[in-house]
Amino acid sequence: MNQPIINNKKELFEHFQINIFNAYNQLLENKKFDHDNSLLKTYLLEHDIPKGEDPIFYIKNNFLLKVGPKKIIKPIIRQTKDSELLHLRYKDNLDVYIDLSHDRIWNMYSLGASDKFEKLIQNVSYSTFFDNIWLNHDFLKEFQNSNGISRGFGLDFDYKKFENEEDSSPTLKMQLSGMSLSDKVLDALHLIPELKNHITLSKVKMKKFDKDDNSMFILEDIKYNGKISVRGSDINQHLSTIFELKKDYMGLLTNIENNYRIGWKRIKGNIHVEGYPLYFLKNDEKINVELVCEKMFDGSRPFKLLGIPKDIKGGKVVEVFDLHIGGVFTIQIFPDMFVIYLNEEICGNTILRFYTNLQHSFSNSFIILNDNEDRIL
Amino acid sequence: MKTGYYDFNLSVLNFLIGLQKGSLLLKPYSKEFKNFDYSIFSLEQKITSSELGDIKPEVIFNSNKINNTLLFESTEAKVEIKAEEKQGKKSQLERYKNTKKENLSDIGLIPKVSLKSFDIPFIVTPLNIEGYIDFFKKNIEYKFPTLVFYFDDEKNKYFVELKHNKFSVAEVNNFFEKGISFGRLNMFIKYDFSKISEPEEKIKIFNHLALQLLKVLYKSKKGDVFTAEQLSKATFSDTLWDGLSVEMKTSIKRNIAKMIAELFITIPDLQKHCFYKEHGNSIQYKIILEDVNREITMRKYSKKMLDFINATIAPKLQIQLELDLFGSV
Repeated sequence: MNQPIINNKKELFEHFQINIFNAYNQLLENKKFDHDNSLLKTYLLEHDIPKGEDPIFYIKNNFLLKVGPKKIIKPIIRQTKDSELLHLRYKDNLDVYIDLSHDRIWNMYSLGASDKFEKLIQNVSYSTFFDNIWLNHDFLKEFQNSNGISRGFGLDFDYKKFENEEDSSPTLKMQLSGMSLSDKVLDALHLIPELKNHITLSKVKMKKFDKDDNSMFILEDIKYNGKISVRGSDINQHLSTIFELKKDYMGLLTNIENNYRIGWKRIKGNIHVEGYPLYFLKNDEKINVELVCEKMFDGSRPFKLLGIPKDIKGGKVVEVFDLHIGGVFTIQIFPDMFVIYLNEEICGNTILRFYTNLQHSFSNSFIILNDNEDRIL
Repeated sequence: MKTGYYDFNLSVLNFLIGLQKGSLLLKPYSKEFKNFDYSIFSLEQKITSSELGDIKPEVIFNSNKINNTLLFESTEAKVEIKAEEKQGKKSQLERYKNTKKENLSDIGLIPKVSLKSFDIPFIVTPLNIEGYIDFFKKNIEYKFPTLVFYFDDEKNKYFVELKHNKFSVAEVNNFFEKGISFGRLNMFIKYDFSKISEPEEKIKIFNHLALQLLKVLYKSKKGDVFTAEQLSKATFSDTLWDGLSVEMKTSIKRNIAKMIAELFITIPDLQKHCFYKEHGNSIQYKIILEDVNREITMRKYSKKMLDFINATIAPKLQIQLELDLFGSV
């Protein structure tokens, strides 16, 4: 596919407008895509680049496409006329645009093959300075309810990590598309006692209209890791989704980072402990503390946490090294809850990642409370 | 029954901080205590005067709402030791007994509005409580509310009980007089600094140092240089590091160098692929880890490093110097 030279965001979105419209029509005519090359995919990527440093340095080092065990494709980075827009071209026919305008979350766009783009994002988000955004079950549901019309959902729960002879739980993966009844299906699933703690949304599908013109619409699949697949007739609806998603997500991040980091402060010569812990309460059966400690802190995926659990009264405590971003924090594990103490530098995304991964691989019966028993998540 | 690690001083400190912060783990007590509107005025603040000598309560709470200040002193020592322990000319108990509002406001800088009354609650272990009660009964001029703090392994619960004397404010007295029991404690403070040279505390600190080393290896760029002091600051936080004595800082930095030297011997690839010691007067290290390979390399070494530091290195290292973290005002 010939790729036009894009000079700024306006041109980029005009280019996308044409492509998402064609993609939608192709779907209508053929009922399926021949391949997904023309489908717009947006990824929202959280970054932790130190203030004042050149993002291009980090992009050069981390935005590598691994296509084989030893084959790495480096991007050719083109700076557009818009200083906040970069174009990355990979030899393997993948073009990626990065909107750097937000100081915390970048938008990455591509019309290229989904598998390559996902592989790239996977590599990038494994690096220390970048992470996915992590949209937990309730966030996805609420976002769908307040921003569009539900068109379906995806579920993904996999207990493999914690499974042992005495304790096995189902793997639950499910897709439901194009149904206005999807909410009712989800509600019905929740009524099955054996399943209710394993029903974890991995994606929501929604339709959004321009309120003044019904013919201007967008169909979006929003995945829990920040990937959005897009087709429809109005790119502006998609841009508004990105804006709202980032706004809501930043609300969560800043709340965690402003209130729930424990630090020592010297005020007028006296020492104070500032900040509060976060309590991950499990509402149903008890946590198998030994099992969790054995499986959760060995550095393996999805948690990527490393630590040596130590016995304390009533439970365990682990000084945790977060292999994902290279941060350090403390977790206490009791039979009915985790208590997390973030240190002064740790990023709030750590909590959102931990919580989302708990929902996908351990149980969806946790709620996060503060000391006042206000629900944080 | 598996009992788990328990440190009296650390537990008392975390209990008091949790109480003041309204900890969920200490409900309903922490919720009730919140009504008194106490703030943590300071931790381990030394108040020095020529007539009094030094006092250094673990925690000072003050409340403008009920115009009261509490100077909590917790101790595992027997009453005889406290009565004899000299610093300046008088025993610690006597120094506390002679403390006046003016000392607390003029030297301790505690606002006068919260000093309409003040108490010095003594929190002691079950082993020593009888001794303190006997002593205070015989010496009625000591008005310290005396509490016992312990964990009951049978009941799997912590208990705090007021055993002797009263708090000045009736409501506060009622609060403690009812007795407090709870199953879990927060961990706002992770180390007992007074026991820094003891095995349990030392391993905790070196484990944390190891995590900070991993963090540096993760977060730095090739060619960056880091020092033992940077690792220490990250471990203790800048605020606490500043409060350490020069000797203590030197001792910790020297131990970090030993820890890294042992790591290099055990995992030679660390020195080859990740970082090496630079020659020079100060202890500093240079990152040689390529960013591209960072994840693969770190995944390979992280767990090995942590296990080795915890099991082999930390128990061998010595930190024997006394700490004076917070200095005097």
